Amino acid sequence: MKKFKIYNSVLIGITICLFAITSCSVEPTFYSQVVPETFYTSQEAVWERFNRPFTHWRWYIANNEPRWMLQELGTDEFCLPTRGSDWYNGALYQKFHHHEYTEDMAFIETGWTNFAMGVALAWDALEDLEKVNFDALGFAEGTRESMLNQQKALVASFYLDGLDFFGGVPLYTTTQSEVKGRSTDKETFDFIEKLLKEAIPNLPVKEELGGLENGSINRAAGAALLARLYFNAKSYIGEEKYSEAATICQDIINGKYGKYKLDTDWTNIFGFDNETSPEIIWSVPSENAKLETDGMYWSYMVPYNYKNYLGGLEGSGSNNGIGLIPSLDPTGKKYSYKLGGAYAKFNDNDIRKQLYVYEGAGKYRGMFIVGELVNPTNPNWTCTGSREYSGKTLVVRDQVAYFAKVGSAEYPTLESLPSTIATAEEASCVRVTKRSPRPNQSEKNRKFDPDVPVIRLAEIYYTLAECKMRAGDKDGAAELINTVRKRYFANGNDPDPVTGSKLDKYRMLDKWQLEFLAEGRRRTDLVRWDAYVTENWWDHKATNNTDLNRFPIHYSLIGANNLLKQNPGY
Amino acid sequence: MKTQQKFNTRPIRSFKMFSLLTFTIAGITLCPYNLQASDRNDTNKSIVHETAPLQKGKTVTVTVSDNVGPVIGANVAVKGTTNGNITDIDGIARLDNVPENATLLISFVGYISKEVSVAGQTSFNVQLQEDTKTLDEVVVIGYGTLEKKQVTSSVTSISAKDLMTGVGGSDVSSALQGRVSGLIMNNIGSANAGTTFQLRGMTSINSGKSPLIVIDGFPGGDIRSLSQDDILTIDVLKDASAGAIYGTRAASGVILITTKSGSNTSGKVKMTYSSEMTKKQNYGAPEMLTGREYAEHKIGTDYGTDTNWWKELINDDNFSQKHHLSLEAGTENAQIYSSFFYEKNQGISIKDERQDYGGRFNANFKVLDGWLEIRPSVDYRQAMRNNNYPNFQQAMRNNPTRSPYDPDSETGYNVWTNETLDYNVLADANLSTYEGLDKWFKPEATFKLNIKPIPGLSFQQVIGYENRQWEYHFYKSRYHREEIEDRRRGAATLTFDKTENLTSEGFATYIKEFDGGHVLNAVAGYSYFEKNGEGFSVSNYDFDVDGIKFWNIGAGSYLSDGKAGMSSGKDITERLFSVFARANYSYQNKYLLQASLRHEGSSKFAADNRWADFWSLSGGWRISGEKFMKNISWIDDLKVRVGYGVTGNNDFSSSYMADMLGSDAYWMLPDGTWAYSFGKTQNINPNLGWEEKKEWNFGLDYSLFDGRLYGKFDYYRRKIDNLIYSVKVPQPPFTQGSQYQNIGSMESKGWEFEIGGDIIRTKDFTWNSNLNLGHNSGKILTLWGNNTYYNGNGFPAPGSPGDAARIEEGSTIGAFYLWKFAGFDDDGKFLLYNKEGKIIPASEKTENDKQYIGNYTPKLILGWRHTLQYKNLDMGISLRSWIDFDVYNALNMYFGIQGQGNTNVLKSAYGEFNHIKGEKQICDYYLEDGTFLKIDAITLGYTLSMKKYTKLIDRLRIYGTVGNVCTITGYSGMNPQVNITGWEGGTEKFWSRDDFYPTTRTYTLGLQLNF
Repeated sequence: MKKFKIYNSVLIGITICLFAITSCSVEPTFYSQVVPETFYTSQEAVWERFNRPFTHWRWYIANNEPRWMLQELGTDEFCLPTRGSDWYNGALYQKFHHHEYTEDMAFIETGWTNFAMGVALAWDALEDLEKVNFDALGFAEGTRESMLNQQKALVASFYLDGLDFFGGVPLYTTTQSEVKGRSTDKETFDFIEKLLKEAIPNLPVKEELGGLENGSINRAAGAALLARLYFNAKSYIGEEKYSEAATICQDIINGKYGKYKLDTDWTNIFGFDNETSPEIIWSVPSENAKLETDGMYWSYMVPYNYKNYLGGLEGSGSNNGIGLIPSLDPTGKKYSYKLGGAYAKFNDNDIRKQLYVYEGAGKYRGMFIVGELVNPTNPNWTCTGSREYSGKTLVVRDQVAYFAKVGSAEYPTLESLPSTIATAEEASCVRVTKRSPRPNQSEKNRKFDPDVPVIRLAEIYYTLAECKMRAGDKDGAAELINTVRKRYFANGNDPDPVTGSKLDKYRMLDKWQLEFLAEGRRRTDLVRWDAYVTENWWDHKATNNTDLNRFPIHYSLIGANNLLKQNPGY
Repeated sequence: MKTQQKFNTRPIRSFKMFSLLTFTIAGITLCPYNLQASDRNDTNKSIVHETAPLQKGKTVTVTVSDNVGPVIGANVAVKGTTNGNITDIDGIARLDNVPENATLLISFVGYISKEVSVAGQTSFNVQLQEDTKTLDEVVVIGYGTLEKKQVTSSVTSISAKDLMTGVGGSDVSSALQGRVSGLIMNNIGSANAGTTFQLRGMTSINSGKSPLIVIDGFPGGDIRSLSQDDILTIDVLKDASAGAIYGTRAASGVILITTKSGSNTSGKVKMTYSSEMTKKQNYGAPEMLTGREYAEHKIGTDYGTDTNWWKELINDDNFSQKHHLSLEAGTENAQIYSSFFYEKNQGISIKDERQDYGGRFNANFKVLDGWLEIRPSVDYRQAMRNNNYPNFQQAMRNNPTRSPYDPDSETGYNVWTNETLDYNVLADANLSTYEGLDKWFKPEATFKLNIKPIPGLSFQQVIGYENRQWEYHFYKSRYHREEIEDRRRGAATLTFDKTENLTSEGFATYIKEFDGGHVLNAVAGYSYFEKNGEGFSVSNYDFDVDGIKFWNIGAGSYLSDGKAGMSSGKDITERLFSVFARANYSYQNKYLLQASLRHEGSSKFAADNRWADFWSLSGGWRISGEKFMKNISWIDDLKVRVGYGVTGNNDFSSSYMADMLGSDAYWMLPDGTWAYSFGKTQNINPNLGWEEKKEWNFGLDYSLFDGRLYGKFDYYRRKIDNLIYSVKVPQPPFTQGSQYQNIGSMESKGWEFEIGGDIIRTKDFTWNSNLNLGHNSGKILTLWGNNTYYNGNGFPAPGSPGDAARIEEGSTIGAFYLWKFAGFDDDGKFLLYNKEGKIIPASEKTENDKQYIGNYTPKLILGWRHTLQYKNLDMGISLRSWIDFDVYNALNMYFGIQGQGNTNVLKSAYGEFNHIKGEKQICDYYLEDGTFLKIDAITLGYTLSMKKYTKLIDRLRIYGTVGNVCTITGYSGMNPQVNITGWEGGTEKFWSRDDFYPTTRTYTLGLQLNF
């Protein structure tokens, strides 16, 4: 039995060994993720944490389509017509044009979650930053306050959009809160006002005219947001606060909030080196191969083969959808609606009213895709059609109709062509290339170099102009608008300046449209003038249903938060 | 016989050397404290000893028969030696050198082995008894086995021969279809498809939550790593009283798979070779308009040709083959099973194929005079995949007047751009290269220490390691549509992923029969599981040379432009630790009791919520063992049982409980340089607790008429509390849009009935039939927190018509949530009912008008298998049926309406549905009864004993199988066997490449040789 003893000792040894490889601990181990405790080791890290809500904001306002769609597609500026068999998609975009909003539309869901997530991310960043020891990391005095208040101002900007789209929304001051229901319009308004008033004095000031814009919220941006809130107070809470808006605008123009001035060349504002445009108050920075931001509408807007017009620009495929509400009917007669038809409203001498051409080295001209798409700098660079005009050079019209079918049994004559949101063809509607213009292939590495302006000084001029107009100072209003307009005409000779005597609701709306076309604000302007649901344009009939000034709350949001109440009328 | 004698000593010694080696390696590699070298030497010396020298003896003749005649191929051996032979066509075997006092061991598969003392005789007649499987069969129950008659919970056991052969498929699930009542398997039939398992209905709101798969005692196995020929048995633990011993991961049931291991062949090497060749055929394709019809109806541009896009994507030249070789040899103290295989599986679709190679080595050694048993096993498999099959939705959409080919183009394909709903799907598939390589490497060792002084006591330690790897190479040619649209010259991606699982389990077993008929079978031990995952991926674009594909990935211009992609990551280590115990007690095989307990902790939960207890209690009463039943001779066995158990679910990623910062996008630092922004990536829920399933099971097992009729019945009722689900949450306060929460509770109930019988049992002809039936229903009891409802099964663009499923308090699992169809108006537009029951035009509908209509859970699921044998001929037929359930026919909805664009439509759009003109609506107009009867397989085989013809081959079997023969149904879509697992099923989801694949019939010719 001696043998067994040896065995036993060996066996016991083995058994112990086998047990020993097992640990009773069920603690997780981390590898490629960073936990907050080990993150804040440098100033850079603090800035990186600070920037998180801004990268969301960039995505929301300049890269993801819902916000732009909600602001533009139901208006007299843009439409996404059904082009032959393209862009029907269950009549989704036709519904936008007819204001047939329903609580199951995906854009409406994202319209809510995007602004709301922004609020959450900003408060979350603020709460994290509050715990950081700024002094220990060697930050300059005041950096902490500046950072915290920028987050506050950012929250206000998100809430401002929430109020604009939906009315009163749930108001949070922390991420450590219980889930809440909606506050009233007034409470939401007051909340935004309070946040901005607290933040503005602590925001950084732009001291250098034309200094680099890097996306942070300067004091003028905060003030402009407050001006926007007051300017639209009538729509939001039924109270007029135009004089408050005017005061802020005047202060901004006077330089109280930092150094800005109108740019003399409009292509500087949107162009390839626009981060130093003195007109920009707040923008989304963008740079080739770093943060590529295109202001969202390229792929939705430009014709299929438009990249060939730019010498075959890589990574510029597109889907030929959105275009301007047409100015002309199929026979070429101008529509008599007061609203819509933006292209025809541009003066023919307006330098913006020409075919977009990239001239090289960051220079370009024009902001439209219209007419025969042959690049004037190289006749071989043409945009051909892909559908009705397959293989032929595309001729983009300021009209919507099935011209390719004229002469068929269906449409024997031009006069028989219908012009509706449902009857467009490939070449219908003028397109806009205003934000984030693109270079030719030879300079492809400048693509996405243009920043996307979100607030610019011209808005302050126009806001002040409208406030003056509403206060009875029509000449003062006209002068402000003309100050901005000068730059669009050779030698500053505006052939059609605004005159105080003729300035009315419709002219004012036209001026807003010409200056801010495609910048994602049209719906707000129409609502402020009570025109959104009461006016006809092209194929759109007024619903006269004021409930439609606000969007419905998507049903899935109500499913996820049973305290949310639907907007009236939905 | 000389060759056999030669075998006697040397191989065995080498086996022992090998066992020692394994033993030592296991000790060194797995053990942080190395054994002393001297110890190892000692062991070495003591293990290796010679077997006793052979004695001279006499020659003995044995005639083996059963109750119908001679048994061919039975094994006759001198016990304790390798001296043996196999009976011939007359049932006779001759053995030389048999010692006077020897014992002969006569065995044959399917029969009870018999021992006979030689005691001076030279000729024996031995009659073998058929193993009446139902009673003495051993059932694997996890951490041990139990005789079937002692089982007190619901377990279904399947042996290898019950699996269908020749049905092909991407994994073994296709051979298991319809075998286990209550087990639903969803697999679309592609060569690369994965399988979704669901046992006894939905146990968790997490769709696709599958049973825990335990392969040879290793929990968390991957069923895709197995080869059907290597499987010995599959035991399915259905109820919680059985599964509770596996605790956390057993809420959806446990599937225990045991692979073949060597047996005592008296040293003879048994070799089996099997081969299958398969040809596949597509049937039941949707009937779309032809090119001419499309042109006639002026749907879109007429390009002049007539293309059947569906047919273009079918690989008519498909050919699949399979070769499997297994070798088995053993003595009393050392047994080995080893197998190698090669498989080539081509799907019915183009660009859907795989080649698998693999091998398995299972061994069992008894050393140290029976004190220690060591069972090393190694399993390796790799699958080279081309999983680039095209999207068949596109074959339905495409303009049939356009040709996929253009002889004038560089590639021969007609590639057009700028159309998202109509593109050359054939060219897309053929102008891209997909190379995938899956690998599974699984070494494992079990050490069983038999504490000999205490009979019945043993300790087992299992160490298992599994390494799963995935390599992926993908290239899109510069001529590919997307590359042309983006003006790029090619796109390349290389990806590598690795998952490592480590399991260590130790448990003591004590089996003791006490006087008076008390039997105790107790197990107690611990289990540790660890999972690590890591991976990296690179992508680059725009290459000068197309032909090099991904093999010079740095050369693309996107790298120098700063736009190439590069990523890597390592998952949070997941850990699971538990201690467990189970005891089975039986008294006179009449009164049975089982209790089990598992205390388990998981790293996935927040620190305070990691540990939980899972337990079960069950009992059985074998009525047939009672005195008063003795006179009822037609009842062999009758047992009632009842069980209750609690099992858990922690099925979510371990990253969800960690407060982590992740990078988002570049943003400018104050100095104008770019850096990534960082923010929270999860909504942490520190209160998240275990999902718990509590289940009652009532069962009855029966075996009647001398084992000719047998089966069982189970009724179960289960409640699942603390349902874990990732729900949409409001932002703010949450930073992310979803969070894992314990959202509520649900219940489900159902029954299962299994009946099998030897309908005919004669010498020449037998007919065996097995039928199983199952029924399940479930509902949501409560939803907690801020969630009132949760929608699912969203239908896609074009049209985005909405969601077809909703769960809320009181909702039934499987119900559709739709608008109620009310007819068509004069323009052919849909009319619907609103919530007041008024008819409204579809344009006025609101979400509130939807209602619960229909249900995709079949009232009855049935599997029926017949095995017939006439002399050497055998035949198997497998049938399956789902009765009384609804299927949403999305094909008719999206492709059965005219005028919705230039995409092609079904012929019925201009026939049966000619009257519909309006936009499609998600309503019950498209809901159909999906009841079907499916012939899963018909097999015809012929077995021939080769003894007569050659000494080299024992047995030959050839067979032919037709798989997925036909489906008899009134459903008008392509395939009524839609995915019914989870709460978003019941829909023919043509838009999902993972759900929509051509229906395939397979023709297989198989060959099996036993040497």
